[in-house]
Amino acid sequence: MKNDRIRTVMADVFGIDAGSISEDASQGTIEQWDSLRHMNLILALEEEFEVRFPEDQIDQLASFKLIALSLDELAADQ
Amino acid sequence: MIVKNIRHRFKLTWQLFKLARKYDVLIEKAVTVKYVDTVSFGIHCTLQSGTYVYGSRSGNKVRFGDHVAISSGCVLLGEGGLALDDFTHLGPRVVITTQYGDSRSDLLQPSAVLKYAPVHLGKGCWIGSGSVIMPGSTLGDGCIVAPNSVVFGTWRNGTSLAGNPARPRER
Repeated sequence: MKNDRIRTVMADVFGIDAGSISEDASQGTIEQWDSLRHMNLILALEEEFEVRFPEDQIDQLASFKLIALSLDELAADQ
Repeated sequence: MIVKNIRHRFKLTWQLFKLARKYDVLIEKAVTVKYVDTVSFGIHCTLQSGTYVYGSRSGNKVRFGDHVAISSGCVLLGEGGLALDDFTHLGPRVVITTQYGDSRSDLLQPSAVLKYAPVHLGKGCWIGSGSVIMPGSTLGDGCIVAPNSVVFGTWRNGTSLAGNPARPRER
């Protein structure tokens, strides 16, 4: 469920089909995932999950798995 | 080189004259507008001193609605398409860009490899001085941006944003 929501946000930000986003997706595998869209993705995820990523983590969230892990940690902290 | 510069300045002045003749827009001193054929204004718009507006070479539209006020020193790069709806005000030194460098390209070449994404500010948006609106940003109607913010992404009507990256203030 959470992964599907991440996928939907990523598909919207990158303008690609959600079905094409695997859990191994990263900045290296999605051409549209550039530095500008990375910021758009982070802010869109914050809106979707009503969280705020720590400033020092934002640059590091460069893969689907790292995003999912960070969202789990933020949910556990709440 | 001198003749080239004189000719260039004359052309820019002529383009401002064309704009002022065609639209109801007040253009103060030291304003530059390039590629004016892609730029349009509604009624009662103002471009204050030192504003720089770059239209689009590729034919995208740079559109100002009615009663739009651009304060002094703003820089608006509209190559990717730009729309500022009615009653939107930009504070001094606001930068709106619809282009950004492709960091994956070879940086050591004469012309930068750029990417483009349109920007749309809804009706009645107030953008605080010194803020930067990044490519692809969309603000709904009545959004407020605090001074020196850096705006990314899409925001619904009435959102107040602050910071870098700019986030809703209520959170």
